[in-house]
Amino acid sequence: MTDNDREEEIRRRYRELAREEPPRALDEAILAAARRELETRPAPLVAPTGRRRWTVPIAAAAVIVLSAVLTLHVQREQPDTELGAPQISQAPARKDEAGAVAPRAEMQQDKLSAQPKEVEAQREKVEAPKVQPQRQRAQEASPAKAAKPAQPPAAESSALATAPAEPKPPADPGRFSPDPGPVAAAPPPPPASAPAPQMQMRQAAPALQPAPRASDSAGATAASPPAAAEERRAIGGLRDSPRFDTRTLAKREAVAEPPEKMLERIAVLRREGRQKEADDLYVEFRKRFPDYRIPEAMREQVLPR
Amino acid sequence: MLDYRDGAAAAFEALYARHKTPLFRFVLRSVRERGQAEELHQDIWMRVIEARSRYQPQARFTTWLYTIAHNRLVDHWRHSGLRIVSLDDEDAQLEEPEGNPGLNPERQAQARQGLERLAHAIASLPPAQREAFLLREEGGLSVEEIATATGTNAEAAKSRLRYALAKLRQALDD
Repeated sequence: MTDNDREEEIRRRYRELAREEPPRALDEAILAAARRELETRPAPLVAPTGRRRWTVPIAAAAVIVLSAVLTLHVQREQPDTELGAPQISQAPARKDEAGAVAPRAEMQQDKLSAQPKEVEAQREKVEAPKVQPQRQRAQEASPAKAAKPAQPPAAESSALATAPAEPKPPADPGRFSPDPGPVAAAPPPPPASAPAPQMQMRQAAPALQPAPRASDSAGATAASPPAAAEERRAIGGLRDSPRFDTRTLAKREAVAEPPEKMLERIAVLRREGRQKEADDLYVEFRKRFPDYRIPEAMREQVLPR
Repeated sequence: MLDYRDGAAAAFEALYARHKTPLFRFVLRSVRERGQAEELHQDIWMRVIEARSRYQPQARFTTWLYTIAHNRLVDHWRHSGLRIVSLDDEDAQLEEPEGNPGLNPERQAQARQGLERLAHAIASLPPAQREAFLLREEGGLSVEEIATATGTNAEAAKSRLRYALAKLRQALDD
């Protein structure tokens, strides 16, 4: 008898050995767990096979890289435009008194409100027709200034940059203000040469307020407390949400939980009919305690059904 | 398994029906205690179910299934206090088992003496050799697949299989 024949003989005899089968209850439990898995986690829309499984990660990486590059680009662009602003406004400022420095420093501190004046001048040009009727109305309200011819927009904007330092504070109330921050924050100018009634000035000013487009974000944060409160509430709500807390707590508890406790939890879940959760917890239990012998009394209550 | 991953429950039933008996016997003859074998069998299938969504057909399903089973058994032996080194010790001898409580006593009584001897010989093989033999006989794995499932190379798998067969032959001759 050759070695191969002997091996065949061993295999033949082995096949004649008892054909043990898993118990029927075990089969049913495993099949039920498989069905539950399908119910709770349906199949992916596109099965990630072959090259396709790299599509999503690569797309995500591309989006992240693009976002980072764009953010860097925008951050690099901003200082350039900001540097341009003082150059325009500094020329007349040098001629002015020292008092002009303070408001300008304020303006520079508020980066968002210190939008490039050139941009503002451009915008002013575009929006001139819209502002014109309001300006006319304001001019009608201040008869002293009514005779004064309107300045060209570019000149206006540069003049406005130094507006608080000018010796004639009761400026034309109808004049369009590209940077409402300092103007709005500045104390009301003392009545001087122009007898324009203050009430009318205050009424005219809000009409021109839409200018804060230049400082949208800063304006939104500072000038709209209800919106900020809403945002804070939303963030706080997320942090305080029960889902957030229970997940964190459950994780912390699971780390320190002894096997007996986990088994009890599984048994409770099974009693409550939450089979899927019980299965998941059982898998977790087995991962943490691979060789823990479940007591006979608990086995019925714990093993998947 | 791919069909099951894509949502077909019937595919899993077919898969389970095909593999449950060989896998159960593989586990039972590895641990030699029916209660433990049932638990391990269930754990292995639960792992299969859990891994459904990330299943990638890189090898035959059978090889993948028995790889999971091997890993589970290694965990079991490690936690039972058996030295993991015994898995790779080709000449290691385990003490003669007292009997096979996993086998039905009535069947044991009916079994021929030769078969009983074979069962005892299998049970007394070193774990690595027994595993290689059972993977061949129950899983129908080739030498390369046994190597993949047990995380070793083909030469080692072949050697284990050869030793196992030689010892079984000797047991039958005695």
